[in-house]
Amino acid sequence: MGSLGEATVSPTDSSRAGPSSPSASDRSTTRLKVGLSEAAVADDGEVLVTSGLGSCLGVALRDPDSGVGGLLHAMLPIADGRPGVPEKFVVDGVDATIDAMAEAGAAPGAVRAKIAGAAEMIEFNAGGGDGSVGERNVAAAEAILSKRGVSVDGADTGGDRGRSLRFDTATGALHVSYAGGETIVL
Amino acid sequence: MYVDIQSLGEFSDLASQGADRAADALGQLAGANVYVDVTDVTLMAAGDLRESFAGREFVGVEIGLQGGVTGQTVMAFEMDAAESLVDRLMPGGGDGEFVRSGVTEAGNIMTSGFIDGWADHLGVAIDMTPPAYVRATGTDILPDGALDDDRQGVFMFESQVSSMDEELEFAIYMLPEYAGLTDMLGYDGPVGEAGDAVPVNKLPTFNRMTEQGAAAAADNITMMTGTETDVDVSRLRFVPVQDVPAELGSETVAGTVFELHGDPSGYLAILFDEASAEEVAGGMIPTETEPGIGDMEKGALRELGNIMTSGFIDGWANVLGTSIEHTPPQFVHDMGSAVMSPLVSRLGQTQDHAFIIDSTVRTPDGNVRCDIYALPDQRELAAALDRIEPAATDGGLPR
Repeated sequence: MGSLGEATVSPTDSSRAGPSSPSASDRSTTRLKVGLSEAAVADDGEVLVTSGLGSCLGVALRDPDSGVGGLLHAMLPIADGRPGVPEKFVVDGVDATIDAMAEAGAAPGAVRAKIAGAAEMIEFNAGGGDGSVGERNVAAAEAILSKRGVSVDGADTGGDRGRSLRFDTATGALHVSYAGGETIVL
Repeated sequence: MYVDIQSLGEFSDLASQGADRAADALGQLAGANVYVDVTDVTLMAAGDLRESFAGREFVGVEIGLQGGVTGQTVMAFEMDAAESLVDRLMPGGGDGEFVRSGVTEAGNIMTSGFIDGWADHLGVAIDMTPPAYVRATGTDILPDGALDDDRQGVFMFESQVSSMDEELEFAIYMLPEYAGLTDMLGYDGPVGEAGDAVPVNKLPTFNRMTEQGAAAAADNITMMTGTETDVDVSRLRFVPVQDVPAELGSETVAGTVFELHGDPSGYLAILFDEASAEEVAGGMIPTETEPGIGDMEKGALRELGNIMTSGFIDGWANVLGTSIEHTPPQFVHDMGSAVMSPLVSRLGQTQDHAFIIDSTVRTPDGNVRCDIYALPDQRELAAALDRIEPAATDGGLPR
């Protein structure tokens, strides 16, 4: 299931847009849903959406030249032997998403990123003396993006509020909305 | 009878993949992107299933299995969902014949995806009889004899399916024959280390105990707010951790979250929709306050959450014979799925699936709704269930 290097990043990858929406090219608003621990890749200007990011981190990736974009909704910083698909983790998921984007025609060296999420909504007593999950997710994203030579063009992380994301891969705009309707654009 | 957690997890993944394939096929037919938001396994007593299915009309397919797995498997949609789906595929064509062929097709894809995956996993051949279309009310949709004993356990796989176009939203149910499933997954005694396997015959008892805990929590709402409440439903489900937030959706909720320490440890969330939160808090505050959820309301919800939690976990601790403590309440007011995500992130560090115990408390007029979600550490819960006295299991009253 969804192992690294497969063309299919997750159950909700770009192939969903294929046979089911033959008119995708003339419908600029084709939306693809990205669940938790999933990623999706778009090569035809689709809008990628994901909702309910708490401590999770959303990583929006795009190669401006080819227009290929990807959105990852990861839960934890790094797999490191933990159970789960690569997309459950920031580091492993970013690698898998960039690889899948490359297969869809993106040049990995040209990819740029925007990140949002990683709120600290709940303070836990037990465990985790090394910072909150959200903080560690952001640190993991910065590390892997820098390692892959991806620069970060925008970020809206931290705080104590949940977020939903809408990534317009045609323009690269990342719309971040909060409960109650307030929206910012990165 | 024990089922090891890893096998249950693999089983749940296969069910989820089968549902994904069925959703893909339906999406192609409907010309829309159709997603499976969550596939969960509910472990319930036959009597509880009978109650939850009562009066609901279903259509589906029944498939017989032979070889590595033996028994009947039923896959069903609610009649209304099947009709609106068919109407979408073929406006005005929602009559019997189209429903019949659409349901048969989807049922075949889903069940064969699931069975093929399971045959691969076991390395055995499983033969399927051709799907037979069935239409029935309540648990009559199930194979004959499946529910002869109300206290017998039932595994139900439920997939929530939706489209980005929010008009399309329905559930697919799959119910494999219990004996066939337990022959495959079950062990007579504990396997592995403590907490590796779930004693499934004790789950109905645990469910009933949770219902009692929820009833105690509901009584506390009534006592503190003067509003009559009832426990509507209480379920124990086994879900991939990443799918837990999707169970709540993105609607705004308000309430409290607790960490549990003891056997089992875990998390408890008591969440109201915004209108219910205001109404309940208003009932606890003697003076008029500004509309919305302000400091007074937060304080009231914290106090209520604290009392509800004590009632809830005392019930667990009594039956499990352990002591469980909880942290002070943390107030939350945000999108439901976002509230859940830090909890599952914590659980997700050590487990890939989670037991989620979900109880709904409602007022008779439906104006107030409160969902109580318990997310215990799976190994600690399995080990604690194993320690339940057999007498407590047998003492469960058939309903």
